[in-house]
Amino acid sequence: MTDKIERFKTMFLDECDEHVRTLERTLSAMRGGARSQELVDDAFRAIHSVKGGAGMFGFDRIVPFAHVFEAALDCVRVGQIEVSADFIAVALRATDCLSDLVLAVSSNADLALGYENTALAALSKLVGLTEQSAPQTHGVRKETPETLSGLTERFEIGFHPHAHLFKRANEPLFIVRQLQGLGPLKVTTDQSKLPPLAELQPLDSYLGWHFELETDKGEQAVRDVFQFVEGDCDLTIQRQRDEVAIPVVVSDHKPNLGESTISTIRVEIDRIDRLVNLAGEIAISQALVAQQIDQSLSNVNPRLFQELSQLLIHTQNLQDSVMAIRAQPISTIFDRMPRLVRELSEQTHKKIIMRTAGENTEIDKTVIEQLSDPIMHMIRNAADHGIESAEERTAAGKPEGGLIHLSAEQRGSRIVIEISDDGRGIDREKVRQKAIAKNLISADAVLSSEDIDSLVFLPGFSTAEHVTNISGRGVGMDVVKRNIQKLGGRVSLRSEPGRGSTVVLTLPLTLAVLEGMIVRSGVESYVIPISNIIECRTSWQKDAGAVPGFGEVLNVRGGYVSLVHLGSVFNTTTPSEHAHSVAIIAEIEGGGQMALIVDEIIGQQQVVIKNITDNLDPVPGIAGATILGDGRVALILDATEIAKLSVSNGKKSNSTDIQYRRQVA
Amino acid sequence: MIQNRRITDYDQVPHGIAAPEDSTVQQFVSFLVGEQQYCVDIMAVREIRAWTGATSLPNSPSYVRGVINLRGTIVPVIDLRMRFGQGLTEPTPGHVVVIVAIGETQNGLLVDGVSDIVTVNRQDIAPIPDMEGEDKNPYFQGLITGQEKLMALVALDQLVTQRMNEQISTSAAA
Repeated sequence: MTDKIERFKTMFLDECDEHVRTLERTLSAMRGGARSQELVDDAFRAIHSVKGGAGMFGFDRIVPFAHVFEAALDCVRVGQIEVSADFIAVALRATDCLSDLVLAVSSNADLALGYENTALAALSKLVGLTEQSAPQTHGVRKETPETLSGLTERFEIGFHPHAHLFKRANEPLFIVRQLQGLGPLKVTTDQSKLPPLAELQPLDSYLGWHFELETDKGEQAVRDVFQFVEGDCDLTIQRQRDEVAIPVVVSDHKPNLGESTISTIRVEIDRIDRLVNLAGEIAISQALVAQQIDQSLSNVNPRLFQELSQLLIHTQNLQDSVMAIRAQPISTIFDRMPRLVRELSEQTHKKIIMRTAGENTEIDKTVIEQLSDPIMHMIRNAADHGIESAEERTAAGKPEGGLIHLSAEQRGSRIVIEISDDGRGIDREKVRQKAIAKNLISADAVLSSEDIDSLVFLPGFSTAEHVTNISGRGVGMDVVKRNIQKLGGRVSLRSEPGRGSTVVLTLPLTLAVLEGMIVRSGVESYVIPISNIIECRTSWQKDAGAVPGFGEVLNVRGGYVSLVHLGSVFNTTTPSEHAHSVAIIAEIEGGGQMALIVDEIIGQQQVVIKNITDNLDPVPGIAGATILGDGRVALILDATEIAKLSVSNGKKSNSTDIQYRRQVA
Repeated sequence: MIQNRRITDYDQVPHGIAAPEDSTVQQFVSFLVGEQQYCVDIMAVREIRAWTGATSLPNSPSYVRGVINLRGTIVPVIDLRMRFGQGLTEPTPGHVVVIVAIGETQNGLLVDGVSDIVTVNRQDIAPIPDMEGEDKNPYFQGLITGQEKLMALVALDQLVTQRMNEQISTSAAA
């Protein structure tokens, strides 16, 4: 039983997280100038839910705080408080505080007593102006304050719980007691639904009640008593004074309140992962069966063949659907960032404005989880190193407030996330000096601007003069780069002195499937992601040539790209002289191209991406693996890494790989 | 993890292979590489399967025979003969891959054949003798006596740390 309560608690805390984000989102929208009843209502609903849940689980620090917060938002809702800049500032700080309170509960951490007092005081002050009309929606509290009317009213209440009432951890006795607290109460029990003993389900609720209550606390107070059983019962509350029945029949389905309440279920991610794996396995088995039937039975039983192609379609649909489950909007991360920027803005005493775009871009859940830290890190960097102080900015003729822009968009099968600021950009001379001082490059190294910019990704690099608690420990960008690479993504950096820098992350849409071209080199089959391939050429030999000191190149429509033999890079075969060998022109990160020579193209298919780093160390040039129709493993190639490998194999000297040059120098 | 364990034809003990309550004895899976008997702790063994080929990994140490598909998971296979410096195994369908858990990872060990499951008294596990002037063989953590033949107890974690160390040093040298 305790287990169940723990589970509900976790669910509640998860939900709290969502509610806090809703608050964040709505308040940020209001700060951006948006004013609509809907926004206010969303915010109010969010805080109301937090309060309700917190009360249920007895989180006694959250409840009073949420209560005051709710009161403040309610005043806005009914138009008693203007949505001023001040109000939004207070409310946002309160949101942060609430988020910390929730976090403290979920992580069992101790938060200093009185931590929330500042925010609470600010909120109370807002409400204090209109204390008289503050709402009394505190369902758990025993003494409800005096109402406006003060008149004694008689209520007839019909309360008929659904069978599952107890399973939602509700207890009718508490309701009776709370009603009693409101005034003189007469209770009649309705036993009409009680089944014969033999059919009685001990965990179901069969009884109904009819209450006659005299109270001066007003109808809202009565309704609040039933706040937690809404949806689990048929409830009618009739006020006798004006003889108007207000039947409240609440069905199990909550009304659809726009984007935030799309009916959802919570499922452990492990279960979904298992499903993803199984769907992948089914696809493989299906392919195996198809192969067998293809060879032996297709003439004998053509019907079987047809059914099999149906199965193929279903399997593919199944796989797509399963993948869709894992996709989540990136707003789950983006919504957290405004708070970070606010805090950074306070800590650094800089004015920083945050803009986001493309929050609805969907991306695999695993990727999302791993993205939060890198993005936070880069925002910290932008705030700490990028954006200048207000004076510096004014002197440079820029607006006083610095801008951090965070955006996401889908480009083909990849997601591109950009974090840009309009700060001072990278001080290349400083970076260079630092790199020399730290022995990362030799003093006479000739580096292009881009090369210098990429130095910040080297381990142990940090240009912050003082180590601040925001950033500057020098473990930053290389960790970001590694983490993103682990996800099959890449990081690049553009910077313009005096105008700001942009960090671009490109990530695979999903870690689960990709459309790949199956090729053969030597005895092994490899998969090249279709998204990397520009074109394939047979009889490429006539366009190939060698450039002394650089290596082989291929003339592709007038331009030259470097030519890489897959077999040589992987040390498996000698350069293929095979007449059927194919040149695959692939795109590499940073805009370049290369011609990858393989022995043969086998086909094209969707492959399930398997992580190889679960059980072994990363292999250079290999992005992952998949399992082909025959059950064998095929490696998925990483074109960019292969281009680098061919460089570091010592055959050519290319200008993009600093890491390599550093070691040579 | 227990659910993952599959007993194949190669596994000669039909039932009840859980470690005995009595902690003075320990169980091992023994196997052959060449003429020599080796063994690993039975608790590390996940399953035993026949060699069906592996996909070779580019630019990897020669003892990494490649990767195999273990019901959807990609698992590397280490050629133990090569690992112990006795040359490459020329695998046939009669060769066996012992899937073992090392830390968080799963690894396949290519061996010539699985012989048995042996129950050994702890006092029959002798330390590797120290030899003056020679490096102690890092791949073994003990010798098991009291059986028909002397068996070397493979230090599984060493197989992996060695692998990682070597990869790090080779990539640094590149």
